[in-house]
Amino acid sequence: MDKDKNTMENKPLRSKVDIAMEETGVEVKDKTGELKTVAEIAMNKKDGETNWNVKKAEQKDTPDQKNESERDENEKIPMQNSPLRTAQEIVLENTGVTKKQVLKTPDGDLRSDSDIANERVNKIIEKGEGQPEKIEKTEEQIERDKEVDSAIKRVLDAEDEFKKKEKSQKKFEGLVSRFKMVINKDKEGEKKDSVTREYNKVKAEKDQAKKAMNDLIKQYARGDIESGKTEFATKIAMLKDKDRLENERIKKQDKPTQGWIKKGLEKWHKQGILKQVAITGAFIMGGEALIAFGGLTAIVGGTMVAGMATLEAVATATGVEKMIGSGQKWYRKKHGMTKEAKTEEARKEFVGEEEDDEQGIENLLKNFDQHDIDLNKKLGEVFKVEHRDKIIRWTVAVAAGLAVGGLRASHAIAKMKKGAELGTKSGMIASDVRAVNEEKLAEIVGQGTKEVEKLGPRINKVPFPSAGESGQISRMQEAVTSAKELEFSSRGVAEKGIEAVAKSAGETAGSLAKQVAENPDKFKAVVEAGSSQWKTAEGLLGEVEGLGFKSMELEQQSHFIDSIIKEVGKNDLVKTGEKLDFSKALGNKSFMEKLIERNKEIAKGTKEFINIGKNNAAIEKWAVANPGKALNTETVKGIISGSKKVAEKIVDKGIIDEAAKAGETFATSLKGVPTSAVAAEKATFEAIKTIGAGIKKLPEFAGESGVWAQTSDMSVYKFMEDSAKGAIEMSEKIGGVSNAVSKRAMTGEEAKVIKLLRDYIIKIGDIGGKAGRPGKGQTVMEYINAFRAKNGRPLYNGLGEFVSKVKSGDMPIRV
Amino acid sequence: MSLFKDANIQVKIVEAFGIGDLPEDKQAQVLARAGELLIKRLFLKVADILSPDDRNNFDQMLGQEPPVSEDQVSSFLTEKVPNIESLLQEEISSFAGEFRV
Repeated sequence: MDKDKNTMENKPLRSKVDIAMEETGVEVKDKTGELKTVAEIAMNKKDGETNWNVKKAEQKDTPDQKNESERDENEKIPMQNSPLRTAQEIVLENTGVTKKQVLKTPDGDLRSDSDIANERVNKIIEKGEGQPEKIEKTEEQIERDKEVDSAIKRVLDAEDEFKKKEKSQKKFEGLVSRFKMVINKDKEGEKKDSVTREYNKVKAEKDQAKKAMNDLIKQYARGDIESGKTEFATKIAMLKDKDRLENERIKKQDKPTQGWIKKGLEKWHKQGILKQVAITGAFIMGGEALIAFGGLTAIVGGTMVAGMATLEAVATATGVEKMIGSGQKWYRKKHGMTKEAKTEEARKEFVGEEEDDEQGIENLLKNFDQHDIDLNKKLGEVFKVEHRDKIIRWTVAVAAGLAVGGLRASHAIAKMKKGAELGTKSGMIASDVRAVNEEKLAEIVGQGTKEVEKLGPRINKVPFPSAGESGQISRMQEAVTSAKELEFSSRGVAEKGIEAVAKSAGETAGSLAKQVAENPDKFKAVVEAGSSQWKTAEGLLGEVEGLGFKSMELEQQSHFIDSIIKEVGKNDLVKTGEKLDFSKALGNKSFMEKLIERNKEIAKGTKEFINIGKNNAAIEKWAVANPGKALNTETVKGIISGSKKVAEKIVDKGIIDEAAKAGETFATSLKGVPTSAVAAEKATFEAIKTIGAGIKKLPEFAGESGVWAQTSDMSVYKFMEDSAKGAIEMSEKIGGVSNAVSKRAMTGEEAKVIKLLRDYIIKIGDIGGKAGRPGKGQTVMEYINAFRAKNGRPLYNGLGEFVSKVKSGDMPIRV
Repeated sequence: MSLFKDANIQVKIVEAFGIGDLPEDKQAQVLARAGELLIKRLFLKVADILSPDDRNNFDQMLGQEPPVSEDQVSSFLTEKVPNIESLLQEEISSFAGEFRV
């Protein structure tokens, strides 16, 4: 305590604000433009040169005098009036453009986005900042590097700004309050020590994370990492990881703010890529406009989430500069508006033009109230007046019952669909990760079709005891439709893959050239009202036979359109009614062949994201397991090269967990549904889950590794003991047959299945309680079956379906 | 039998009013209120169609103490108004058309 006091006495009188700013390391610019902490400026100030904050503190504050409103006012200052730069200013600086230049009217010398980008790059080169060592690069690589540099720098700068402001808003407030507490109770030295330790710990963790991030950035800047897609993917994956962290931040916001951001992001995700980027760019540029609503931290956090996701989605193939430029234009357009109008516009753009849900519902219910008065009046006129109140009560009771029942039905269906969607999604991800081949895709389609065929008759056979349950039938039918849709989607995925395998770029380009030669007019299009060159190209390409444009990944489509438009030689300003001729580009065999080949590389690049995701997971796991150890370049390389299996395990576990969670959610939703409906829904759910490729992966793992064959006859106690230690040995397969003598360690996939089985047994144990404990020597299979016998069904909340299907031979798998 | 449950009017109200994306509690709020008004609208419409005797019987039925069951009202309406289900569907559409969010 004394030490701290002395420290304070050695410095000029400081306000709580200054103390906290010093502690948080918040920096501001002094007049020389040098970044300094407030304390540094205060210690070295000359009259008239210090900033607003120090002066304000000297004039007004002592720690205990400030009332709440004054304190609030001071806390806002660093965000709104300080020399701290706004996100807009940061971005402007990074683009190398002055505010004045950006704000020139359309009649003035407004430069193109590519000019802006080039200037920025030139500026960096002149200063020698962040310039990679000279490496012989192709023009294409250089161009891509520019895009990457620009996109990443924008995001990182904006994030830095976010962090600064977050500090000045949150930690600042927290520390002031803590210091106040300590000052008031200065005898509680221990408590202060504890607070300081906690703060230092958090700060150290943040510093470590930032250092790891900066190390990677420096590597990139120095060119240590080989130029190309890998390093790009690394960077983007890294940003994605930050994206996740921002999500964590959003979760810490108060409920209304969370809802606002969530709603905004949901809407945002539904927008087209161009619109997404425009909004994101606008948010980055117009950060200051967003302070006024939702809370700065939350909004910028939301912006960052949106921004990074977008950059990741589009950066591989399209001109990021151009897209971000759309956002800049959007912001420029609104620059002259009042702050309130600007804010409202930004909010609408993010959340959508629709009326706020809350307000909309409130208005609807108000209108209902008025309508109700009218109806009640009429009821009194049409029916006996003395009956009117009874009629009203009757309608209220019936409607309330309908609401409960209806919601139960609609939510069960929604959850069922969600489960199926997740299953398909996880299967698709798994397919990507495992480089699914043609045969595999065909197998998925075949299996899906088979399950759909089985589903119909199964539902028809379900006895429905009363006409009152007929609503359940429609639910079942809806489930069948969903299943069919899923099967259809699976087929589409499979066909896309098969098509990609079957067709070479040369063949496609040759076929296109032939088509163009036969009928060039087919490849010309007129720009319709409200359309654009991009949309026109998109529409036309979607109709070109044999190109497979519609089944391309989004990144591939964007690249394709960009390249075609560039080849056609038009700028983006086309007029309604203008005729666009794509025949020369599409008929140019060598150009198209090159374009198609490049598009294949983009698809591979997308897969690299997934691989990088695995690496990140491995790094994250390592960091958790090794607190305090430096995460430097060498460490990262070591983790990535030596932990591929670990990373894969983590990713796969996530996929399976997602599917399993969906299944569990559905199982929960079944509670409270009439028993007769449960039987029907159970059948449907089984089929849907089976169709979900994620679930299908489970038996596949078991089939390939023989996990179930190895463990089903083990005693529960031995299984639990060995699995906890990861010590289950697997029989080596010789000529496809398990050899009990030859043993080997578990593979990553096998370990995953063992873990799921273990979790499942624990769940059964939890439900069964003391009486449900496994008997001595009772095998895993016997234990699971005993639960099924006792409860009339297996436990669906986990692995029950998988186990029963494997054992009954119901699944077409190899055990 | 229940005219209202069998016709799945809950789901139809949700669809007609476009409230499927709302949180569960909000949906329930709108559903309960809309269901109430919808039934009142239907009763008023039916009252116009029924013969004077049937209308009187319907009035008596609704005024009973304790209240009649939902099934009894459903049976009466199904018997006396053969196209009651399509009438109900029309009413949902017209109601939602007037008040859609």
